[in-house]
Amino acid sequence: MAIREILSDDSSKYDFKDSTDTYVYRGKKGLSIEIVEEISRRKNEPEWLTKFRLQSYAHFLKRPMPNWGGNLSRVDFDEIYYYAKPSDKAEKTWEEVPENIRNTFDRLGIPEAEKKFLAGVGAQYESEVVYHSLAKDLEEKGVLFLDPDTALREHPDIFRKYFATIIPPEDNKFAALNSAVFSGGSFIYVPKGVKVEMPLQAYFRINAQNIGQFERTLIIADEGSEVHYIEGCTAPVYSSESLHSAVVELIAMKGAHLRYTTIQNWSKDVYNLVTKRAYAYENANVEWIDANIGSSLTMKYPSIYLLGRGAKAETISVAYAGRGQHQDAGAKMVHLAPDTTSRITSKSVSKDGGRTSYRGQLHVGKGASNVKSYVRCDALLLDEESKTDTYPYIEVGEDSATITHEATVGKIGEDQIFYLMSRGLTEVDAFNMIVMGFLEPFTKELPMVYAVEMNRLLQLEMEGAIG
Amino acid sequence: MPVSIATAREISRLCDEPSWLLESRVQASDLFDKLPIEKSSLYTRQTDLRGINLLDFDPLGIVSERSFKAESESTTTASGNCITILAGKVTEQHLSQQLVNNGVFFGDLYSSLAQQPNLIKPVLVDKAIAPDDDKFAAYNQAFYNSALVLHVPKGLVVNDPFRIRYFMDDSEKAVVSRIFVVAEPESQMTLLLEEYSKSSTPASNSLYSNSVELHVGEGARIWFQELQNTDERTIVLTNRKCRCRRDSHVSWTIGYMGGAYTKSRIDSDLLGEGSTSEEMEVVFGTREQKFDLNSNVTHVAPHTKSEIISRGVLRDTARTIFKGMLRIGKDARGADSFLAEHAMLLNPQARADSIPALEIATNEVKASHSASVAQIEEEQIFYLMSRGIPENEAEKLIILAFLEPAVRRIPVEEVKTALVDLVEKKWTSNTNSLPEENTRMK
Repeated sequence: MAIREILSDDSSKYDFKDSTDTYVYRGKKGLSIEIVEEISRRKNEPEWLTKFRLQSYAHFLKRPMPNWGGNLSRVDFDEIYYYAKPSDKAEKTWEEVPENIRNTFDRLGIPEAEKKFLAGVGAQYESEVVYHSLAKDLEEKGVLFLDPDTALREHPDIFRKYFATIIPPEDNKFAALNSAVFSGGSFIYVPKGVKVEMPLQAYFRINAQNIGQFERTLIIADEGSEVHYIEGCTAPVYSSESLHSAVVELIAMKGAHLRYTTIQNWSKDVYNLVTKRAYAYENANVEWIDANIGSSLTMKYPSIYLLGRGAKAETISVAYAGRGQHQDAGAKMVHLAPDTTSRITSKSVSKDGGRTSYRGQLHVGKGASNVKSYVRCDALLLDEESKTDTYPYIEVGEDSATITHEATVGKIGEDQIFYLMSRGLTEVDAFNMIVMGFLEPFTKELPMVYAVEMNRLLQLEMEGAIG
Repeated sequence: MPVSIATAREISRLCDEPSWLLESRVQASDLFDKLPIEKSSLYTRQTDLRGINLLDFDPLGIVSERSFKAESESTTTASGNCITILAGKVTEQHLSQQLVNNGVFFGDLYSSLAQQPNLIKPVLVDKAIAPDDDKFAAYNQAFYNSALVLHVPKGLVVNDPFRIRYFMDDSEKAVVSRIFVVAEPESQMTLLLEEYSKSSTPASNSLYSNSVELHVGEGARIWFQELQNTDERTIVLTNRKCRCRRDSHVSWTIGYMGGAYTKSRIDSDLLGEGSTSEEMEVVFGTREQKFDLNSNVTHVAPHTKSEIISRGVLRDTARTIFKGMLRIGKDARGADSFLAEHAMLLNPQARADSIPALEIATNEVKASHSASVAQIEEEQIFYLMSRGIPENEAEKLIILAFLEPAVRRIPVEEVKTALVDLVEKKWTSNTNSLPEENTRMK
């Protein structure tokens, strides 16, 4: 697709609703022990997992709502459908996917993207994964890219060994919720030394109103391996709230390189409350590339625990908040081993009364000598109604650490606009160009197609920025 | 007897307070009981008061042992404009005749209330430091056993600094003090506040709670300079706030040297257009000292400007936490705000945490902050040693250089010198002894 063509696309592309009549199963509204048991029974899960779900549910009930971050008062756990199954099984070829769902993903361009440059794709529709494929050569090398149900059935030992070890259900209220009702997501295992050169992708779609999507992703990059995983999310616009609460666990063994990219473009009535955490062992390298464009409220702070000497971590995060949106995003780096380095780059843009918050934590534990960390947060406010907050927590308990943090907030300078206009750009183009330039540390980390998509999304959001 | 609402009533009775003052003590005491240690969810996890029980310290003894009014009216042969308070008792009080003639008031609260009730009563009723917002402010307002007022009339520029010195001595006692400063429009003044200890029984702790309110009229300027140099057994709790009207300016300088546990909060409210505030903080923590330092600037009016520069050096197992918050409100277009929190750790057991936060609600602004934590660099020491400077001396030089960006900005020359002096002394002796003549600010 030529860039010009992509740029001329319009945003209503994602805003369509499919009929929910053909769903194989849709549970009742609200959450109860019965619903949790029902999900587990329908998935034919072993006893330990059913037990795990029930314990998580008990913890979810006990745990108070967080009193910080965004406004969660409108989240009504009783108004949400916790499980809906649009199709019976995850298909391996595109033609086998039920037609209506296939149409959805066709419209979103998933198969096209797959043909072009992806090594594997998973597509989740409501609670279940409906399509999964992986390039043949990777399959032969022993790479696993499955939905959690299949992973549990076919590789129970690996699954159980790592599942919920990075983020236990007790971590926070929403991790507990996810642990109780999770369904769908991705399970990836990359064996020792295998380098997956093309990115693997998962696409998440919420279609029905008031549905909760609780996918669970577990990625294990074994020693010396490399993998890049990309997730995208969309939902049509409804007037009442949907809830997306995922748990993502990453493990990068010695010398592994793991990159996780998210382009979150939920519709503006979705609560996006996600727990993401990675463990990086000796000389491993973990990167979170995280863009939050959609949703009503996002609370997401991807974290990396640097557990082995020489581990490296990077988070690049971009947030865009328009009218009625609050992006409370950030990053967390926990240095627990010597000679580890981390870097956080956060860029946020607020417009039309939108609010962005950067909430970060940088922790250097005892014994983690020679840590180097750099945090940079920049915020751009496009009008006077918009808001931005920065809350970086820096906790250092080692004298050999070198930590720097910088943050700036500003608006687009009239002189910048003037300069570009004097070179023949229109005001709108000049404005766009400055915003794109501001976000460039992020977009340059994306594969080309995504970078274009990202710029396009932002341009759509920015329309009318100049009154 | 543990401290309770009865203590507040008794202090009020001994000080012969009017009923409205008693009432606000009672309210504050009630709030003190109810409030959590930390109200802001931003900092809950970072606030650690284990091992400290404010109720163990007695704020009443000081009052009952003295005849409050009689003492405070006595003056000595001291020169300059100064008040010295030893263990809660005013031992020195002096104000130059010229300033008296110009209408300056510098003395205790009760005299002020008697002399100019219309001036100071509204300030007290107003509660610039809100007791319902902060447990320690509530404590201060319930149990204060010493209160001072400094009032400079309109248009008067006072060049000689006003000095207030506190000496803590009796252990288990609580010196709970309030200072109200009213700068009428276009006036200017410098206030130097010093705190020292003189413990008779160094085995036990004492408590020093102080609150300072600066009411800064239009176009007025206040230089507030404080050196906190109590011994390492004193619990230090301070709340300071300035309310700045149009085109006024406040300059805070605080040197944190002493104290076992220091919890300090500064709020600068820039309420009038064009008002500005600046804050220099210098911390040198050694041994087991803990510092919990919170600075908040709230830009309410347009074209306001603020700057906070914090520099801390920590040795042994000392700890500091810098909590800085810049808030720019919806109407504060053209605001310009900067916050810098930098720490240097000299030992692996020392620790520095920073939470430099921004909350910005409009876009025509400039706001930035930076924070860093670093160690002393071996190469720098090596380089200095290669020039013939002994290691200890080299370290001291590097520390002073690290503190320099804050020290350099201190607007009052003698405070600058005194602070550097204190850092050097502490580096050398690692004790906070009584000030010798030359370390006292003169």
